[in-house]
Amino acid sequence: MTKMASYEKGEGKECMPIKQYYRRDYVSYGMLKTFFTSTVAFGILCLCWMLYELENITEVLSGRDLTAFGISILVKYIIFVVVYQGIAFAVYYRRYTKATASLKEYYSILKKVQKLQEKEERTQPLEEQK
Amino acid sequence: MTGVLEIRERLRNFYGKYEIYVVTGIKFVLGLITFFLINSQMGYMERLDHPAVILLSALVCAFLPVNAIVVTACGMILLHLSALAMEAFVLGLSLFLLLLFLYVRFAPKNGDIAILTSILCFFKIPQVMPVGTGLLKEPSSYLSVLCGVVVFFYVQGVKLNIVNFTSIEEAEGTAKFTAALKMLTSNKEMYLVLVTFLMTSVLVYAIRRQSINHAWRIALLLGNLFQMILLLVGYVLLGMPEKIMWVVLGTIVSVVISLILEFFFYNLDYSRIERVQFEDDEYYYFVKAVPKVYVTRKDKRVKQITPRKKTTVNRRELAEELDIDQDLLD
Repeated sequence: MTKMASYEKGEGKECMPIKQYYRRDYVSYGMLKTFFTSTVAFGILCLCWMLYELENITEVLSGRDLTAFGISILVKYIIFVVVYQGIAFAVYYRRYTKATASLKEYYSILKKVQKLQEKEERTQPLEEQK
Repeated sequence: MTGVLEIRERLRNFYGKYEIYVVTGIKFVLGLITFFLINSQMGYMERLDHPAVILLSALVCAFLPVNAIVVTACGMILLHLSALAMEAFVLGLSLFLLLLFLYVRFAPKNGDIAILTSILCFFKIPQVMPVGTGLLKEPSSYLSVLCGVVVFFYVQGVKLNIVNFTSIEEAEGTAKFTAALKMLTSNKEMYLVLVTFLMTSVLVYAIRRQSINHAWRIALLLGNLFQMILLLVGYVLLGMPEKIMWVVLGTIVSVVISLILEFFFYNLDYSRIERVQFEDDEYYYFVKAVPKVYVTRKDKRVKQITPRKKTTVNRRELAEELDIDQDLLD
């Protein structure tokens, strides 16, 4: 009982909400969140680069084909997002696996407690009859 | 040695008994040091640079999760930067957002490592962090050491280049921003420290996971040596010989703290190794079991709860027992 209570207050607090989802849903949801954050991060990086090069921006852009420049940024963005999606997949997949293992242990203890309780309930009426 | 082991057990028992107070106390001290360092190193916003602010913030953070210290510290840094120059503030905000989106999201529990790294960087002995995390943590948390290093170098860079931000001339709108960004991106020392720390953590982790005797001891010694050599060579190549003394000192401190960590978390008795082989339906197991060094506490007290048995009897009692005359016993 103590083990279960401590689990519910500690590790279980994180693991239980994870197990409300199917693995595929949980991982997809995590990857979707990562897509937005990685897009914002790429935007910040681009903004920093632009401000850094603002003085020379005309020089930087003058010799280049703007379409090719746009495509090169897009390619960089896609690579950036894909890498982060890969990381997110690995992280959320592992998190789900961990939560599954930890909850499995929790449920096995829960089963034991339930059996004990049933046993107690079965013996109590007999004692009352006596 | 037994005495030291007993102290360890006492400390463990003490921690187990008063965990809530110990953790709260540690968080309070950590917050206090962090906020004090931020104010003493930056202190651009006068309203914030007050002991009461530090005390109050540390006190509040002591009762919140450890990441509250990280958030408060970031907030304080940003407020100081905003008082200094908007460009420094924007870059600081961008930096924190990048760290949040690209790393902290995936490993939100490592805020304490980042904070500790930044603090130790201020004291010029950060070498203990990569070795310590390599010994105690999984690879995913090594990047938090790097986050701490980046934040430190940014704060340090602003402090060293304060003239760039306080100049009244406003020749170019983005000149200050470019200067702030250059200060961060062209800091070769920062790259040296980042690469060294990452490599050290990975090396320590790789060695301590090996199934060899004294794996932790070998890992921490080799890790510290490797780190010291890399930093020394790097600083010589960068033309910063004044840093060499701190590298050596930091490595000595790192070795000492790593040994203490080993004593508390991995104290094994290699003289009593047992090798066991067994099998089940699917596998054959070759197990090497190394017992932990453990001593029981000496403070056992035996309390007598039954009346003491008499072992001696006098002549009169014996005579009465035998029902004879007392003189016959002479």
